[in-house]
Amino acid sequence: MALYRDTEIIDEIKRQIAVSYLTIFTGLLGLLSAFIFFYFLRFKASTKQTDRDNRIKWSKFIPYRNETSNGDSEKESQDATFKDD
Amino acid sequence: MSKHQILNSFGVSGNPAIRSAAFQEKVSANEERMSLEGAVNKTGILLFLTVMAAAVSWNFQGPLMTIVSSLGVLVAFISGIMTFGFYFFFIGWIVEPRPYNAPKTAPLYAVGMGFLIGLLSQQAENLYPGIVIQAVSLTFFVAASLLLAYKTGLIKPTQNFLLIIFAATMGIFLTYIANLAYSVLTGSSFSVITDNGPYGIMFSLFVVGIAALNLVLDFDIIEQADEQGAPKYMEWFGAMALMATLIWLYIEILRLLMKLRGR
Repeated sequence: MALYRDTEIIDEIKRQIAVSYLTIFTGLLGLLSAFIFFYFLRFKASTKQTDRDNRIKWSKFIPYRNETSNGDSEKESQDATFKDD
Repeated sequence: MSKHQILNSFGVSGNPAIRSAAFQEKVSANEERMSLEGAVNKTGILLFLTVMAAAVSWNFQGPLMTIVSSLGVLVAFISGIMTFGFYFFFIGWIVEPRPYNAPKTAPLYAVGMGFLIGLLSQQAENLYPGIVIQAVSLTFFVAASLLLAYKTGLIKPTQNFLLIIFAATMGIFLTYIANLAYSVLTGSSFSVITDNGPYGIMFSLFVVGIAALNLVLDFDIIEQADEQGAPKYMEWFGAMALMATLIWLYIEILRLLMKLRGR
């Protein structure tokens, strides 16, 4: 009976050690992840992400995008056709 | 009405926090523009405030702290509505979004939600030691993974992606509202939300997935706002939206872990 109780206690201790190892591991994983998150958040997305046709059209709700960037590019293209005499 | 027109009638994003006409503001020549760096710094500030409030709520439990936490949640709720607006089906905008309020409301939101998180986390930790560290870590792990997937172009948010996430988010929101009403009336709640059986775990996994995918929309809006040179206050707005999703994700992961540990 006493031996059975001791085995139970040992099992419980083993379980608690396993849980604490898991906590330490996930804690370290969390620290690394937080660092990666805040580090890479400040970088612009790759062109694979930004240069595509099927992006969500947030620009419909950001009017100045079309008014500035598209307008400017049109002007530039028109200017490019001018010839210097 | 096509599905995309329906989406447009709701607003910008599938994420209820970020759904607004926030980007309609024009930037004058003299006005300072937002940057990714600024949005990251603001997110860091809001995270710091949330953690500080959570630490207070965690360490000083008692009737007074319960009142303070309740007030904090109320303040966070009001701050959220003042910034993101309030939309209701078939009625439209009850409160219009006011993104220019974000520099004032975002810190209030962070502190208010911090009190709630502290309270929830402390109760969860009492039941299952170590669970909070695991939930925090998993939240950042999921966020970092999705950020990398977004930045590298592995996940590409499209209009259909937005529609699916929006529909799923609204479905979850309405399920929680229905559960709240049901629990007020009957004193019990939907078993699929609270149960730690296979269905309960599958539901939690689904909610965690949707919360995580909302992060992708947040990243996309912050990215595009930066590309378009949105006004400076949009840094706070983007950071607040990101924090709202992160807090939601954390709570859902905590709930999922509690279900798994409670089996």
